[in-house]
Amino acid sequence: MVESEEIFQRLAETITNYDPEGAVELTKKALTAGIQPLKIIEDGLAQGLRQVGEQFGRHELFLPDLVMAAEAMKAALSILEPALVRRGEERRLVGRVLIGTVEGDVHDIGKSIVTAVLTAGGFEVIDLGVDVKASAFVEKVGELKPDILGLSALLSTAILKQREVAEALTKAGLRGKVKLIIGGAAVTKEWAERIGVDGFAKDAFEALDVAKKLLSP
Amino acid sequence: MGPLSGVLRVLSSDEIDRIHQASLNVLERTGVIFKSPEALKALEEVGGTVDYGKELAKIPRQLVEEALRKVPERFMLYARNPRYDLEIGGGRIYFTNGFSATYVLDTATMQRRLATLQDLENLTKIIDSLRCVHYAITQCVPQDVPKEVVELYIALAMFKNTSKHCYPATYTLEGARGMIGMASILVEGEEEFRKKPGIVNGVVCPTSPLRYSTDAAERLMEFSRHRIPFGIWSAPMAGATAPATLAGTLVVQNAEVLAGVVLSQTVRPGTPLMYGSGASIMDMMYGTSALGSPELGLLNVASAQLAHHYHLPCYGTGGIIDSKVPDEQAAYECMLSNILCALAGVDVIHDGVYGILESGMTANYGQLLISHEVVEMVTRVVGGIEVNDEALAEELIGKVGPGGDFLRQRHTQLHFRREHWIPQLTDRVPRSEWERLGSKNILQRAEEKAKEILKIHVPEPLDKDVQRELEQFVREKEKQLTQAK
Repeated sequence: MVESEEIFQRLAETITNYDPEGAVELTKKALTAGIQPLKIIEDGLAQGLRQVGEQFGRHELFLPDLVMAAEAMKAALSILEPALVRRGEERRLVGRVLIGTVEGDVHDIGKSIVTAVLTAGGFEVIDLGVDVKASAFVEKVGELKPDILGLSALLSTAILKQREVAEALTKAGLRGKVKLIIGGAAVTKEWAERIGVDGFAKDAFEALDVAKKLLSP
Repeated sequence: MGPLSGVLRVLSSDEIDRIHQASLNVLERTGVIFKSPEALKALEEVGGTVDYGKELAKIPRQLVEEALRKVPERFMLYARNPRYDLEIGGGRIYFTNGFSATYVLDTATMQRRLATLQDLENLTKIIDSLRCVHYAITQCVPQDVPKEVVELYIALAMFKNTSKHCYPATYTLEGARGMIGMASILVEGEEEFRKKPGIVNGVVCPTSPLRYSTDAAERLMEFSRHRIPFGIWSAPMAGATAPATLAGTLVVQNAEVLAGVVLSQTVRPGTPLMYGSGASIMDMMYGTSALGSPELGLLNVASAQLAHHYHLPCYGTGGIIDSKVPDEQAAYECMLSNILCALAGVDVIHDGVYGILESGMTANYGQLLISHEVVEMVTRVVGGIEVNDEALAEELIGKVGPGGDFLRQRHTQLHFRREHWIPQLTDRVPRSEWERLGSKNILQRAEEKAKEILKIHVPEPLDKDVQRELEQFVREKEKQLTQAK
């Protein structure tokens, strides 16, 4: 038991040291040693990520640190997720978020920041990338069943595509199954109300707040 | 190219020489008033032509040239904590806080009140915590202690509240002697003080045009006798105490400073000095001195060039604010002269982290923090742009590729802290967060920060015996001086 206490501590440290290779290696070792994947995440890796998130909240760490910690976490999860599926286990998540920049817009950084902040906040975030077609969003919502879909747009012309995604979801009968949040430089509260989405956030911190509120019972 | 201090020039070398020659002519033909027979006598002995009736000394050029050869190019200012020791003239630029306010503007009420001893203690404590104040000068002059001993109260309050190097203000010979006595206690003995007179420094101000008051001349000689480093801070006002032309103003300033250099090197060769400038213009509508003016900035760049032409460190003036309140005018005035001084390579930027309003009259706690933010920005600018393989990041650019994301790169995490200035007070938060935090402006945030520093910052305490001895020194002097009246 003492041994596993130590391994959890070390798992957390791979995250606080922003070390994706170390995180992967140690995760493999822990799995070989027969430690439950869920415990590897919750008692190990997630503790490290939480620590980084807290330090970020106290302005002791910065976005590149948060993003790099999330990257290390992601690397370890890529090994753990198949193991979870095999064992029929599920992570206790605040929620699952699907995120992407809409078609016609290739702006990436804002979305990366939202991804990092949500990840540190306990969400599982699946990033579909940039210039994502409405049909692709619909397909992925059907497949991955996220709690929240986040649509980013920086260009003022691209926000029209946010409406297109909302309409496509309705047409596919999925609109009621997922909370829709829009964000990005060109988005206004008025626009969000007009196209009838569930939430609107101007920045990553607001996105975290809105996402938490939407999922609280 | 790296650090940029010293890249800015406003005078050609020919122009520097013309100012130099003109000021030598002024010293030789017109002369300088020293309201001190002792100073006049010292200058006469080395070859000056003295008229005791007019208290005037005419100084031949070879005396200036000889004196300049004796002044050290660089010297040390020592601090109670050696971590804060500074080498002046070694190419690095340093900032002090603001100097000698009479009032304090209360931010909550926007009312002005007299500065107190408690204010000086508080402000010095804040200064102790600010990384861009390299040494402490007297932020305000307490108005609630007896005038006869104010210099001693100032020295005590400053020694107690900062372990950085201090320049405690002195105005009279008696005050300077008291301050020197206290500095000896601070370094635990006169013998120690003789080894390290740079534990304190002084500033001597000629009264433009071309005059040294009794107090200025006597303090200059007293500092020189002790080899205490000091700045000769000449502050002519163009159009009033110097010609309206900036070149003419520089001639007056240069003659005043050089006269002081000659006197100090006559009293004690090798005394470390700084070439000081607070030259500016008089506002021709109101007759006030315009210290937040662009002319002050220009004159300081020129002064750095003149000082360095003489191989003297420059004690320039940056950051001064004419505005009555900590507003937009205050911010741009503080920035302009600071950035000009820094890019000119002024060795010590007196007043840089100003924290004072209305041309030196009124201190404000919030403004002190805002001025510090300005100096932080200036410091980053002076840091310049580093160019090497790691910084060029060619390999990284290839790896990330078109459309990629540099945020998620180890290189970013490794370099941003050094390359990017990280603000303390400047507003860059997203609007939602700014609103959540109360939609505060810079002054509100600065005022809160000042309060927080006062609550949590503990300056390194003085040795208990040293403190007791200092307090006793002040008490005894106070008894002597107030009873004598």
